[in-house]
Amino acid sequence: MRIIVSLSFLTLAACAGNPNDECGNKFALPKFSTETGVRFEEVQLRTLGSPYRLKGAAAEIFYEGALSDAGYGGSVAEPRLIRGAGDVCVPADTGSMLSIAAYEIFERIFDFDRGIGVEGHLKWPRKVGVELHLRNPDGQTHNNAHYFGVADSIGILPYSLDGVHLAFNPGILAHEHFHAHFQSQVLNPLNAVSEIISSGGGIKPTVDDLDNADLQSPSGLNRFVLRAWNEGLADFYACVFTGEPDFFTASNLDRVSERECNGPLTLFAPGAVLKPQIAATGPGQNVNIRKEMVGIAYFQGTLAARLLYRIAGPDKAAQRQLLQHVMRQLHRVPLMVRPKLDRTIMDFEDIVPVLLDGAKLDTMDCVFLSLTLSKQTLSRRFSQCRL
Amino acid sequence: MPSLIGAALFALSVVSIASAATEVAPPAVQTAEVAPPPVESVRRWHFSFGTGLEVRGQQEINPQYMEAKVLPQFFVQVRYFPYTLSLEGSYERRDTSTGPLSVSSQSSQMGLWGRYEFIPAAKLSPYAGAGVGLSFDTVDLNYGDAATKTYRGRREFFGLSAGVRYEFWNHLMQELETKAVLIEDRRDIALSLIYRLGFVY
Repeated sequence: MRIIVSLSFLTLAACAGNPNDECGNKFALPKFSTETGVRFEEVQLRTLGSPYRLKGAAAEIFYEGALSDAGYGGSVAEPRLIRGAGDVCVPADTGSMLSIAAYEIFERIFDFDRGIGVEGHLKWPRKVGVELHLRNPDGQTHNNAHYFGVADSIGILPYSLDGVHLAFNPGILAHEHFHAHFQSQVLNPLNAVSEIISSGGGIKPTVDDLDNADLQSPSGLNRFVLRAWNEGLADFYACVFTGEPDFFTASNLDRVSERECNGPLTLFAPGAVLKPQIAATGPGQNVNIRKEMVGIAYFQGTLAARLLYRIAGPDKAAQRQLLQHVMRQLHRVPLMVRPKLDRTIMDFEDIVPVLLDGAKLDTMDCVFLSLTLSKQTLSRRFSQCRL
Repeated sequence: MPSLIGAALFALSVVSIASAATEVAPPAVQTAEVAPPPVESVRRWHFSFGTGLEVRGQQEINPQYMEAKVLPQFFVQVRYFPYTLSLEGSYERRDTSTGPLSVSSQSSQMGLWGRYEFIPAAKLSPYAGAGVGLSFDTVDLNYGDAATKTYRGRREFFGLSAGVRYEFWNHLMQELETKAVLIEDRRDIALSLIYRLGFVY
C-alpha cells in the first residue's frame, strides 16, 4: 500500500515540478552611454532558449573555454542566476554577467545584420569566448579581443583596466564581428586561390597571416594592406552599429585615441610606404619591423573608416545605407585584389573605388575624397568629382 | 510555486518509499539470533541541534569545471525512530569583480529534510532522506560609484540525502552526509559532503 502511495506522490511530483524558466529571459545588465553614463537596466533577450544556457539564434557563449582551429570545445556557458523581484534574472557573479552581456550585444548585432541584409554572409549562431586565456611569448595577454579566422570564432580576453570591460563594449564586439564578414567575403576567396609559396612548408599560408608574411615580396606586403582594410572597415561597421564614433575610448585601451571615426582626414599612403621599413630591416629586427608595419596598416585603416563615416554623414539612416552598400560590395574586393596580390604592392586607397562604386556622392563627399585619395585615383575612378 | 509543490511531493515519496521498502522486506530483526532491542528503547523521541560544515561542489559557468565551496551550517532535528525531521540552514556569499564592476551575492538557505534510519537503535545508524527548501537571495550590483542596484529574490530547491549518524557520550552526535540538491531549474545538481556535530536530548 505504501509503495502505491509513494508512486502516486512521484507521479504528482513529476507533473507539478514543471521546470519553466521562471525568470524569463529578462536580465539585469549594465548599460553604457556617453549621455547617461552607466546604469543597471533590465534587458529582455528574445533569441535565448533558456537563461541558464547561453545558446540561441544569435550566439553561443563559451566562458573560459578552450579554443582550437575547430572552434570552442566543451559546452556553452551556464550562468549563475538569482531570480529577483519582477522575475528578473540577476547574474550572481561577474563571469555570468559578462557572458550574458556578450550574448545581449550579439543579439543586437544579429538584428543589425538582418536589418541591412548581410546576415547570410555568416554562419549563425556566432561563437564567442568570454575570458579567453591566451598566451603569447611575453605571457598571458589581456585587454584585447580577437577574431580567429580559421575557427570563425571571437575571443574576449580578460580585462584589467579601469574602463568598460570589452564584453560590455558593443563597439569592440561589433568591430570583431565585422572581421568575420571580411573573412567570409574577402579573405576566404583569396585564400582559396592564393598561390603564395609557403616558406616554412607544411601549412598553407593565408593572406591574413602577418607573422609569417614574407617582407621582401609584394604578396607578403599586401597582407598588411589587407589588414588595413579589414581593421578600417571593422571600425566603420562598429561606429555605425553603435552610433558612437569613439567607441574604443570607454575601454581605455592603448593606442586607440587616434582611431575615432570622426577624426581628421589625410591622404592615404601609397603601399610603397611599407618598403623603407623593409630596407631598414636587419637581422633580428623582424618583430619590431612587423609591429611598425602593423601600426601603419591600422592608421591607414582608420583613414578608410573616417572617410566612409564622413561620406555617410551624421544621419543614422544614411550611415546604415552606406554601410549596407559597402557590405554588399565586399565580395568584389577579391576580384580587384587577385591580379595584384603576387605582383605589385597595392595602395591603401585601392579599396575605396570598389566599395563606393554605385554609391550616391554629393559635393561634400567629393571634398572628403579629395582629402584622402590621390589626384590620379580621384579623376580616374570618381568622374562625378571632377572639377 | 508549482515546482515547490512538486519537490515536496517528491520528497514525501522518497521517504515513504524508504519506509515501505523496509516494511515489505523480510523481518531481518526478528529472524536474527540477536534479540531485538526493546520497543520502548527504540521508539523514543530525540531532539538534536548543532552546527556543521558543508563542502559543496557545484558546476562552474563553464560546465566542464566544478567549484568547491566550504559553507557553515546549523541544524535542529526532531527524531522519532526511525524517522527524523531536520531543519537545516546554510549561508553562502560570493564576491566577484572586474574593473569597476562588482557583483556580491548572498544566499541564506533554509531546508526541511525528512529521513529514515535503517538499523534500529544502533549507535552507528545509516539513513536516507529527502528535503525541500528555499534560498533567500540578495545580489548587490555596483559599477564604481556610478551605479548601484540591489535585487532580492528567492529560489526553491529540493534534494536527496544519505549518510550515517553516530551517537556517543550519551548526549553527543555526529553525522557524515552526502546530499544532491537541485536548485530551481538549473540543470546541474549541487553535490555536498556535510559533517555535523551536535547535542542530543
